[in-house]
Amino acid sequence: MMEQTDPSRLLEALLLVFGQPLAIKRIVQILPLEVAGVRRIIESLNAEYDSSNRSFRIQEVAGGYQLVTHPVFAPWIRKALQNPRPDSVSAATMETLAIIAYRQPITKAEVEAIRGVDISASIDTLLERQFIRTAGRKETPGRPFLYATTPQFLWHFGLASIESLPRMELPVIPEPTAEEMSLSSAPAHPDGS
Amino acid sequence: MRYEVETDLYDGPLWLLVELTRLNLIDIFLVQLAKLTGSYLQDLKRLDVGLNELSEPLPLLGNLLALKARGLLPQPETPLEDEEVPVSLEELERRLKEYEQFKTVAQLLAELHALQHEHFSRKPSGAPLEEPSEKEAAEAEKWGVSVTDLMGAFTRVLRKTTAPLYNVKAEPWTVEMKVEELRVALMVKRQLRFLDIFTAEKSRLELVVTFLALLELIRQRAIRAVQERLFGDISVVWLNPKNVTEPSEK
Repeated sequence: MMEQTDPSRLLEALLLVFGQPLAIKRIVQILPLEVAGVRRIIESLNAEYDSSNRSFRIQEVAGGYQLVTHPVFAPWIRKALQNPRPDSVSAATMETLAIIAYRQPITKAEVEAIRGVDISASIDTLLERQFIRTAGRKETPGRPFLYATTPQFLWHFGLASIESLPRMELPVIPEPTAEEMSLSSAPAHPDGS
Repeated sequence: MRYEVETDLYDGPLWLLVELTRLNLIDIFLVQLAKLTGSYLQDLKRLDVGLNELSEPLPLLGNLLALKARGLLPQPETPLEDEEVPVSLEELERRLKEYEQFKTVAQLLAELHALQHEHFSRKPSGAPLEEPSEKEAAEAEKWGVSVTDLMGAFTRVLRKTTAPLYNVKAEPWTVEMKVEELRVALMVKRQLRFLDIFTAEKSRLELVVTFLALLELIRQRAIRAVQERLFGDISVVWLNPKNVTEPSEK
């Protein structure tokens, strides 16, 4: 039976059943396919959906794949689900989340050093929404908790993995200008002015 | 999204004002905090603004207050031992820039979040989102489960509970209530028979509460229990309440 079945139809069937991302690791355990083969099938399925103007496509998210509807249908689906809006995340909480996402694992104090404010409330919100989790403790005095993002975070933000976070420029220490050098009375630069 | 403020010398986002004052580029003593908080409170009263947006300025306003309060305090002559080492201008710039970048990506993340919620998948079926990899499994063994995991597990246990629920009624009588009742009755009648206070049709609980109220009034010296003769009926007599309720009056 299996031999006659088209693996791309099988994969489609699996994705239809799953309500959340089906991990690529699971797919290769279930189907006689390699990771590269799965990717090829997903691509051809998506091409097929696009060319036949289907209402859904396959999205790569949180280390797996899931069937999602096209965004143009969002208003109607939201109405059907009686779920007008996802709980928005406040700008302050989003900043905390961004710092944790890019610097994980990180302690609360380290995030606070960057944001300059107490972040207990946003940590609580993020833990409650399962966007972050505790990932052990830092071996420093007080052994503070380390925080890291969860698969739920990737899922809710449509990210295939942590590596697919939007790129952030690394902070560069600007070269002090000649003017600043003379202001900071640096005797090391006698030829500064 | 960003909370904007207007002051005599600065118009713009509030967070930038906080950064500028923190870097001493704006003198905090020239910023009228009362005006800022005043307009914030006005915004708060408008109903069309989301709670999330209104929570954003709170820590910022708090920061400004702290900065100003610190400025008002006399500076210690010698720097305290654990005082932060003064940071260089370059370091401040670097930190500010770093924070700016996080602000930018936070906005990007917010957009991603909104975008992802335009894509709908089937309702979750409860299967694990991701099977733990060997490394993660080893880590989990090392760290154990988090408090949130435990809380989540316990919530599921509670949901499955089959034991019947009991409704606990609010107490129908309180000592305070009975004190008032007795006070009014005694003010009118001046004297009550002990046995008349405790009629048999009252519930045991009400009797106990009434008795506690009686003791309370005796303690307050608002009433006195007297007995005319040995083994006779006990009566409760109302004392001059002026001395009790207004002890300051001569």
